[in-house]
Amino acid sequence: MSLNKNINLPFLTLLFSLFGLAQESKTTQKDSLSMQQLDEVVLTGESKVMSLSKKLFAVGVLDQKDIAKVAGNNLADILNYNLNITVTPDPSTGRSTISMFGLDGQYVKVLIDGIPMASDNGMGNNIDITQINLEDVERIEIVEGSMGVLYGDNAVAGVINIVSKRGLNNNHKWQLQLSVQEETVGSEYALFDEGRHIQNVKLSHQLSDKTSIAIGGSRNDNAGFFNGYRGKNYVNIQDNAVVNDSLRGMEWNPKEQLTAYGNLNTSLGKHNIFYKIQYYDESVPVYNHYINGRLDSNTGMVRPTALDENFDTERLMNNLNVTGPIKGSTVYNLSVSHQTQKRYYKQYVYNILEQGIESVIADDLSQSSEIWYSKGFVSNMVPKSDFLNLQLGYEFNHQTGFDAIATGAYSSDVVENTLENYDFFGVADFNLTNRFSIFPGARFTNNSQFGNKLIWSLSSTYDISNTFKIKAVFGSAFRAPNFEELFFYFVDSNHNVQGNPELEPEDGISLFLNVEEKFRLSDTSMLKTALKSYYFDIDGKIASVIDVDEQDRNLFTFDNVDRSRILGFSLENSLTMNRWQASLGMTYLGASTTVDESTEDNSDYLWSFNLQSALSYTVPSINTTLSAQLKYTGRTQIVQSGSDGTEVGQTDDFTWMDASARTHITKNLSLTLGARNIFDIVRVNASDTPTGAHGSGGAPSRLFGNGRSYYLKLLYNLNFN
Amino acid sequence: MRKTIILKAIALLLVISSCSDDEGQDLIDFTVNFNSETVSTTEKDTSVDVQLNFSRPASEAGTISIAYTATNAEYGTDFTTTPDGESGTIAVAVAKGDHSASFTFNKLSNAIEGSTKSVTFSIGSFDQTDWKQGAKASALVSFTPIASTNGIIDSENGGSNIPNQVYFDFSSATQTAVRRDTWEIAFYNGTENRVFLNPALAVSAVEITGETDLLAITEASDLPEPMELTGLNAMFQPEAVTVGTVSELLEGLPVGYYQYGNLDEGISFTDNAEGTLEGTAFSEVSTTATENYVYILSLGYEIPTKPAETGSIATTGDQRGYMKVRVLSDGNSYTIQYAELAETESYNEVTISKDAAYNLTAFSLTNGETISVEPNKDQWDINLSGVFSYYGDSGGLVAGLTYSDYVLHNTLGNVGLYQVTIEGDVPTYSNFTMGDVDESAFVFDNRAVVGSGWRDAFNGVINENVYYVLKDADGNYYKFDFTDYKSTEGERGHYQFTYERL
Repeated sequence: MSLNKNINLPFLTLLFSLFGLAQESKTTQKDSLSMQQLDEVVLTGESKVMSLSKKLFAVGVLDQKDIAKVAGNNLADILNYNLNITVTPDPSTGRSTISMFGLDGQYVKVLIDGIPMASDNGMGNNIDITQINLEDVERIEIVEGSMGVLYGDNAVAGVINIVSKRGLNNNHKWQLQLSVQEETVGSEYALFDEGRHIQNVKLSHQLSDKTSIAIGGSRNDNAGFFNGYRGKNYVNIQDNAVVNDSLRGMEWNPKEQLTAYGNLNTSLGKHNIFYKIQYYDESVPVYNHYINGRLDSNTGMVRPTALDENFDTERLMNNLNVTGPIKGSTVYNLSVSHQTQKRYYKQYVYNILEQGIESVIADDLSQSSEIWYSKGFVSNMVPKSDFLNLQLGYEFNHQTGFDAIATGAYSSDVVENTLENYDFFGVADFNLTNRFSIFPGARFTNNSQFGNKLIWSLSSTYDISNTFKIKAVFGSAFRAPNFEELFFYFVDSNHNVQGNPELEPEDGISLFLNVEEKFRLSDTSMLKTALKSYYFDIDGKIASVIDVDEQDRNLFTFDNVDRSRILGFSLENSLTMNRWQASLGMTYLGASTTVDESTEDNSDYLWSFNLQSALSYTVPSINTTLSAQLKYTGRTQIVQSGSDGTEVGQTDDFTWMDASARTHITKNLSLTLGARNIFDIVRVNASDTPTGAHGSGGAPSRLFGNGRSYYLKLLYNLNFN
Repeated sequence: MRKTIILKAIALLLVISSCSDDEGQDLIDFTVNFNSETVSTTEKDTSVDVQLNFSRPASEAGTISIAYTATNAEYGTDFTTTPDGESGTIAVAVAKGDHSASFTFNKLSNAIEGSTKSVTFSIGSFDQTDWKQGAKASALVSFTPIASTNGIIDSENGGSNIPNQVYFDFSSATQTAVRRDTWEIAFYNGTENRVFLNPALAVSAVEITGETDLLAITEASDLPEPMELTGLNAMFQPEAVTVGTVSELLEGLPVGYYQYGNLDEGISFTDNAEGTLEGTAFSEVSTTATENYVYILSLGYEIPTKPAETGSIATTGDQRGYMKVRVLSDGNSYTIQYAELAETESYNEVTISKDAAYNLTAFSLTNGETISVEPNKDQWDINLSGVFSYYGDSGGLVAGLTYSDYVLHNTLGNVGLYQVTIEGDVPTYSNFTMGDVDESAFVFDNRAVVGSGWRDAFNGVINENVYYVLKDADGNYYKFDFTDYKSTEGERGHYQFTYERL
């Protein structure tokens, strides 16, 4: 990625020239961070972009303060603290995916300003959340439950919406933000080749009352996690022969990310137009632990080489959103998006002693997708009625692409696939009384792969008082089969693994019951308590099955045979008192899986307990906020097939804790000092991982973190006219 | 002013922290070496290729100029080269992507006995300025043979389909590659009358005891008498099978987990792994014709053409069908009667004389001709068979087994070999000297001593604790050690070993 180095210099030249302007300007304005009053840590909030969902669902919000507390650069840094979300990194690919209510990332839809994000093989689901940069983010909204009616396929466990910043919310014309962040990876840190190095630049300009623009860039250079491995240039040579001790390479391969973005927010009369462009580039080298020890027949000396790989992902997103009134309080909301994603795969022979590439074996575009997407809806269609209201909308998605890796190295069928969705949805709003409303909704989906589907939702709210509210949400959604499940192909004399193009989507239903009460304890203190109960039922869950093909050979394929049920209770409290903020949440979740619907054995609920807590305190005299977050992830169990039919596998419990201090050195300069993963979690014992995945002899385990890390972030924020 | 400093400082931090150490992502140097510093020719050779190796594939085309100096030889009278070198230099063209290049040395006259006659070639210059010459910048081509003392051999087995088996002779440093699918059976040239099967192609054979009429047996035939055999059931447990017809027999004839046999009764449809004369699937050929029965042969498996996924192999393709064979002998030659299994009208007959220069004479049933496979019996020491199959016991599982990366030694040609396992005070490969040779350890009656134990395909590594000591038929001692079984690109079926004369 020598490209990045070249980009930085012109960028900085630009900044230095801007600096001239900065010097002349008056800087009396309060900085944007201190402007935000620390009045709410409650994970419930409102949304303009998700205009309807606040009525229908309980929406959790993580705002810039929450992000700043953990010096979050990407979504993986912050989502861990959500009670019902677990972030699972995969060190071999560098991807981090989430699971929500124990359902993996394929059941969660990630949106940017309400528009699903292009993912490896789909739209919005199974997103690598380390790829989502937080620099241009106003807040993150998390909605739990099956939201198929509003957000379409794969919104089974919930939806995460990333809301971009729009405009400058102060009286200045210009804002320049520069930040650097240096972070250790566990105890590993060096100026260049170890640790994590982040640089951000953002420039915003208010052109007029109605128009603002912003451009920015962010670079996250994560040198990876060695954890006892010795890096790419390690080789053990004894007696002119390579000793393969499997110490070459890294536990967690490096990753370099570059995000560049720009946006335009303008008003034409009563109509608001928001355009966002974002470019993302990621480079992940994968260093082979195995060293090839062929001798050089010219010199007779061993010439150690390794077969290394590099994955380079590029994504370009153009999102346009227009909103405005049609008549009276009837409003429309229209989004159009074009997104492309390409992944280049390179495999090469790396000469360890000479530290260079000997030959390039493959250098291909291995995955590509192009997406056209549009969504529009009209809400408040019956403006004059207090009793009835209606929202109607459509969603359209056209995706073309291929994925050579998901279809398997043996596949000769790496042809372009096209998927198309036409969806229409509507939600009605019956206000039966002042306090009691019900919202029935339905969506009709036509999908080019699996035909028509109808999904529905029904929610109701009952406000016992202004502060005591009950909400019930009954919704459905489905998860579409993924690329691999449909098209994977690996057949030779020893293997017969094939995707199943006949797969049906998995049907999910969720029921949420939410009781919420706010207590005003004094003028400066408030307690909010929410009790939640939820139930998911996912039918026709796709699982690996063994079938027999026409030649009577065992065929490993996928079918809609499992059923998964999830039942849970959670209690969330938040307290704001003077300079203190505290929150405490607990969830108790049971999951039951019937492996292969026909057999009823071992479908007991397997329970797990999660606890989340946050505490923060502001010291005005030194302009400093101290905060700490803690998350206890209880042991999780899953039913898996073992030697004697099904058995229960388990991932042990672990506790994650971060702490930080954020202070304003000057009006414009703030410093955050913190520690992640204070309890030094690296691997957690897990009997539910495939054995032999890592090391030999040790207990099977799953990697969750890279040990206790420290970071320092300097943010310079300059406002001028 | 203070703000200026801060801004500058932050900007500087941005610059510093955004630098990264990217060196090492560039290509390594392109260096050119002669493949060998000495190239010997025999009296028979009229030309020899002189190879130049590159450190990596050429990223651009170019030309290498080779200069030469001759000792007791004249260009045009004693030798020429291709490309032409009359001007004093030879221009060797390199195309983009090439791993190596070569030129040909044409010998026009032999050396007069007792005199040295040679040409030394050296790398002169390059038209690409960034190309470099390596450690082996010159090569001496001798007009007479030079004994080999050590070397590094990159086998010509041909990659993940292992299309070739390779015979190697240590004293002449010569490897001979032959496609595995060119022959099915081979005839022993010693005093006994024996027929061997091609284990590298997984050929198997069953005797139809009592039947001497080749045309009488087809797939529809009943066996003259039922056979009591053992097979494996679906749970891989041994199961007794009584076979009464040819079609039932064919189900258990090809080499595979479901191959029939009966080790207790000495019934095996393959030769034994050891390669002894007594262990062949064919009974000894009798000089009394009526004692030689018909055999049905499974012709093994095609060599696949599609390379395997990196790190694995694909060596067995479609089954090549069946043939029936009857072999007769008068003690000095073999007469082979053979036909397609379904044939009832006529058969082919070929007579092959024994040739004492070779252990075995290979024969192709599909082409009906003898095939040159093994070099002369005193001109090879080991056979990098690649694929190797036999009916036997693997950890309690008795079945038709197929191995890859298999290595045999020439027991029929009096080559002895043993394995050294490094443990305790056993010397390492490089420290092993003539004084460490254990004369009693040489194995002369089991060709499969090396086998596939030199590598660990499950973990994808070379077994670093073993090496081998070999004594050839002329009494030369060599040690050799495998250094890899994959190419640098990760493709299997590219073996490499290093050897040294003790």
